[in-house]
Amino acid sequence: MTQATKKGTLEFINVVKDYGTGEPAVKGVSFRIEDGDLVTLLGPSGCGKTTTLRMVAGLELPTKGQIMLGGKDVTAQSASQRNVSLVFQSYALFPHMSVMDNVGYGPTVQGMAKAQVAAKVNDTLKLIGLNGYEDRLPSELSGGQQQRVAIARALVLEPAVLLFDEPLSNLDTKLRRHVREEIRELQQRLAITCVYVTHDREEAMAVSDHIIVMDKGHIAEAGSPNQLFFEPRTAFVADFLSEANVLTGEVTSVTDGKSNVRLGDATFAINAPFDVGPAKIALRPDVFDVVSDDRGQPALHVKVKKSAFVGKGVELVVDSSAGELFVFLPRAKATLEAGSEMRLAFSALDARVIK
Amino acid sequence: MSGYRIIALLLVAAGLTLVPWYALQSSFYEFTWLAKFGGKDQAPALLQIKNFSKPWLILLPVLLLAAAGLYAKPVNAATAAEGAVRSWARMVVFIGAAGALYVLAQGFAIGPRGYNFGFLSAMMPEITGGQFGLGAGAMLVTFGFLMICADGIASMGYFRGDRFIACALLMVTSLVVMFVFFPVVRVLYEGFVDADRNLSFGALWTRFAQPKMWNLTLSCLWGGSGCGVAWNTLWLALLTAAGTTFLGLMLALIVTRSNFRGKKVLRLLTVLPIITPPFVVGLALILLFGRAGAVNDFLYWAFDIPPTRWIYGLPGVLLAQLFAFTPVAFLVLIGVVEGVSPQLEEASQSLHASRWQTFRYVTLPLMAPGLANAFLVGFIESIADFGNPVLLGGSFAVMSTEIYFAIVGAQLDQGKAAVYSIILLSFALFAFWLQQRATAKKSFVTVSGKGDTGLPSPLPDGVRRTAIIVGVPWLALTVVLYGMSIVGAFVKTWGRDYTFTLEHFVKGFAIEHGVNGWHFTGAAWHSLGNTVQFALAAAPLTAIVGILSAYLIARTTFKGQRVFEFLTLLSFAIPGTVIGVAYIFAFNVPPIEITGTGLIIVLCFVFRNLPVGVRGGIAALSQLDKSLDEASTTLGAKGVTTFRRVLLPLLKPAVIGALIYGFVRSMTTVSAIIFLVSGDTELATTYILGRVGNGDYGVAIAYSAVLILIMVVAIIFVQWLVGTRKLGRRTAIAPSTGPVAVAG
Repeated sequence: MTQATKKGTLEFINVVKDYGTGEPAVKGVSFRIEDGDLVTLLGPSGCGKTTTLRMVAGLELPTKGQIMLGGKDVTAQSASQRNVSLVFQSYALFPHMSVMDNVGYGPTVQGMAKAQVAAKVNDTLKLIGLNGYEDRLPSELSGGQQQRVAIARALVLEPAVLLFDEPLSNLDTKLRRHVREEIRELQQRLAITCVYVTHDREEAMAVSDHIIVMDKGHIAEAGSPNQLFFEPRTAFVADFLSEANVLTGEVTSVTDGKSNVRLGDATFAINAPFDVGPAKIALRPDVFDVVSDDRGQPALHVKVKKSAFVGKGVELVVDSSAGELFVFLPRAKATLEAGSEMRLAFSALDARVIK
Repeated sequence: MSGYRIIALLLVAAGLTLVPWYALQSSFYEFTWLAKFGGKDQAPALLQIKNFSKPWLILLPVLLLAAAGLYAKPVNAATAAEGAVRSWARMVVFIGAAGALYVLAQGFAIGPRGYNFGFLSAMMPEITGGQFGLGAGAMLVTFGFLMICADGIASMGYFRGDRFIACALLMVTSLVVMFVFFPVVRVLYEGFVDADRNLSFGALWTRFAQPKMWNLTLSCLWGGSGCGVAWNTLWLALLTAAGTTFLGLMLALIVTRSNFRGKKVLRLLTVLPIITPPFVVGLALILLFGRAGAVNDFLYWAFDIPPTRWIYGLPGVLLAQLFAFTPVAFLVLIGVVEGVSPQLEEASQSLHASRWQTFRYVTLPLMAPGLANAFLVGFIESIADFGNPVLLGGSFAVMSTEIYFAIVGAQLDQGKAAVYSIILLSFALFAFWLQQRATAKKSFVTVSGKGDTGLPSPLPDGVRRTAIIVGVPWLALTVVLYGMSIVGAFVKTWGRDYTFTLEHFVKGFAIEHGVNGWHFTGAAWHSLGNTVQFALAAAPLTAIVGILSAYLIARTTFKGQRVFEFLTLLSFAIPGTVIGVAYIFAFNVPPIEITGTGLIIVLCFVFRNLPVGVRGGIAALSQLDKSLDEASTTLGAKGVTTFRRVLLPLLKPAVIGALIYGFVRSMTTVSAIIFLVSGDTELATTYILGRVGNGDYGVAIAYSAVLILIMVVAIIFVQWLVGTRKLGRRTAIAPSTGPVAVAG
């Protein structure tokens, strides 16, 4: 599915970053980002996602490997030479410069004439909805406005790739959803390639065309939000993206391309052939229903250990014949008594055999 | 060709053709050399080669042509073969380095009487005549070649190809090596030289292992005679360090943890060590406790107790140092006490610890690294101190004064001065090393900037009472001492005639109307003019080199960064007297022959105060988020643009701090420059020392008062001049976050 290489096509080929402090931060990462896509680097802290982003920006130079931008090797280019802009987590607005000077900084230091700079800055501020704020200092703006100035400052150079380093982490919860939508909307309007770093899975799924999940310096898995959420191939992604329960079951036999699986006291068939023998099965917490009789669905007999009402539903930790399970019941309205027993049914379609 | 390269080539070219190659007898800035431009002493390098038989200089124009040739044909990275750019850049590095090193090497190799070393005369072609110290031309050429060398280094891909960083690093390193490292090494060398100027380990040993130095008796404890100088120095330093740390902690606790009323005023105390000329405390102590002092007078009058001379010796020096350096410890410890997170104390209290237990098991251990730091700073201050021991020491000798007398005394004994310097330097460096280790463990002190909530817990009663009982009288005594030093300026003869007079001021600062208008006839004008002039010249240089070094340390990464940092901070640990001796040894002979000039004094000021600028800069930079630089870089700015447009404006408070510190510390330096001044370049502090030597306390005190006044005015003026712009949340970078200065 590789598309033609355009201005904003970004490619990492076996990139390693070793700070020389024990383990490398990034251990041989390869991916390709198509022009005009918004791709998120997602992972827990310390997984190497920020280091990867900084290597795209040129703020870190890789120890090994190649970085290609628009088909050209930019591995050795410094940050000031690369046609890439970064929106910083802290915004990094220059506190002694007005909004005008902040946004105009890039064109100015690259030698553009004053009048041209002013015109460009005005266009960009209009685009981002901040015209009228030219003479304010960053300290005189709200958090959301500062964020927009930071984006404008990065956009004004019309970069091939725009980078976001956890752009929402300094905003309060209510504003986050709004700004997130704005960023996505702007990105699609300008059809600009974006690389976005976050550790928040919901945020990642909401904004991205593709997600690259990283773990301990490797790429764990990459794919569309839908793929990764519903069809994870690794235990790490299943756990990280949907808090899925990863249980040990067994593929007992394969017939007609279907695998017959036994998981504790439940048996069901999965629409794909797998090797006969022990297998890891992922079950998301939200796929369960409390049932009195199974009606042909696979079901597990469980005993409640803990239970908590969290408003939009009830969270349970239960013991089952397949091991301990974390379960979320969206329609339950009260906690369940510890020690009570019941049957939890799920659809065979929601069970994933993973690596 | 870029502007940078043109400038570098022009510098070299101008240095070779336009200005005198050798140092001039008169000042460069008198421009008398223009009139005798082609003369033997005034000629630039090219004429020296042609007319005055200095053939060895021919290599420099050759290297210049080579550099110009390389620059004329740069390698195009896009089209050239692999490695071509690198080998071209390597050539540039080589030529630049060769040029700069050759200037120095030929200077060291060929002295006034030809080759300096026997093996050279044997190997090299014969030359007639010799040469004297290097001058303006040599300096320009060296800088030009250094720029070329830095360009080559950056072109090779180091420092991410940033020429500015490479150039700044190379310049600062060269300067620090030349004016800090080299003099110190020169002192070490001098310690090994015997009477016939031969190197011998025995010479060092005989000077080292003297009973006068290491004699250890019980009397060492109270500064009795017969105790070795080294032990005297160490014992005094330990007492001073312990005393200042204790007093400083008490005062800091009063200011930060009590509801004592005068605590705002107390903070003013932190300014005192900065603006106090070196002899003020000592003089005031003499006026108070000396033989003719107020206390003795009173005791004699009231109780018939005959006056004694107890103040001259260990007790007096210790007392003076306690007064002089307690404010320094106070300054350090305020930060330490404020750095203890109130939340931790609240946690302790909520676990039912009593106030005393909280203080003993939480607060005090948290402050331990800070206390160690204050102790070591006090230690370094004490062993470096020269003014107080020379004034009050009497027969109690310490290393710094012994070095002084070895140089200016009847027996000019360079070897002795060198060995004493080596030992003193080892003490200081050891303490400095310990101090660096103590402050490196920052993990304890919790300055997160995230606004620790919670109230600091009140002090236990015992601690509070001790603090008040010790602190308040101490403050009162400090006020009395400073008051004394003002009153002393206005009375005729202290101890005998207390009539009010202005004669001391008249003697020093009279301005008379004579035949040709106004004349500054006061005896002090000359030295005051010099002092202000040199301090003004040194301050901006200190600020520039300091902030640049701080930038290199805090904002760039390169191999050997730790070494670079150590070099820039090294002079903090070098006692002033040692620096002075080192400068004499290093710069009394060609190639850099600048003793007796104002230049050596300015250089001494700059490199002695450099650590203050560096640390102030680092402290300020650490408050600026690194993402600001990165934002600038990703927007296409190079190192120099980022530095100039983003960091420098935000560092303004630090720059002002460095300027003020540089100026004020230069005004009050005595130990480092005492060997460097000549009749022409006499300074305020040396003049005061002379007055004190003659028992002319009145003028000395009056002069000190004038100095304090000038410094206060200067501080206020600079603050007003530069102003402080509103920077929103990122303003709070007070100059006081800078390090603490070693006085003397």
